[in-house]
Amino acid sequence: MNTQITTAGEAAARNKKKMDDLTVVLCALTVVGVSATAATPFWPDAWGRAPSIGVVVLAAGLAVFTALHTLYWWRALDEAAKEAHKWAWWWGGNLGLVAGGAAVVIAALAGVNLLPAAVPHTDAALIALGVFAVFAAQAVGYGLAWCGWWIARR
Amino acid sequence: MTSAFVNRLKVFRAERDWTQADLAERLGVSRQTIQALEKGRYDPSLPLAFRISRLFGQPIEAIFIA
Repeated sequence: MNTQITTAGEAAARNKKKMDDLTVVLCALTVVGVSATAATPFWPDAWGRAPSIGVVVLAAGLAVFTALHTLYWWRALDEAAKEAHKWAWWWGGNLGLVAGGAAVVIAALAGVNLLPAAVPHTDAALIALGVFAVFAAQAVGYGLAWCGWWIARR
Repeated sequence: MTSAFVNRLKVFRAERDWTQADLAERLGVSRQTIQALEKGRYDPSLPLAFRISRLFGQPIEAIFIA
């Protein structure tokens, strides 16, 4: 538990250095991703045509980059900002999930055609629609709750 | 949404002629957090309360009053 008095400038500078380092690594990975065109070895036939090693390395690098970037971003937040996000995640996310899920079920039961006409009405498409709708509702709920938390404390 | 206790953060800050941004910089938090603290709409954690206490050279109970 850090109880030292540090300035936001020092913390921000340390954080920026880490993020800059990450960006350099990501740029290097992009070069590898574009230039390494050999097919990925040991790729199961059942998964279809093997992508290039570069693409696999780049995808893995992006996943690590995103995780680390999120970690540094979270560490840079002060306690009130973290509290706002946690509150929004719980209340906004959960209420959004419930509302979004209910809206999709009610609409489906009412016979509303939620899929665009151009999209084939397969089971996979309907499942994807449900996932997307609930995710979008969670995101909206999260955003509203986050704004509400800060507005209530202005 | 209001805190159970009052605080004298704004008084101590004004005595030093600091802006909210100045205080935020010294404490390593955002200006919005200082605003919420001063308005009594956010209670600081114990580590932040100690940092405030050290910064102003005052005991915690002189800043946060039940």
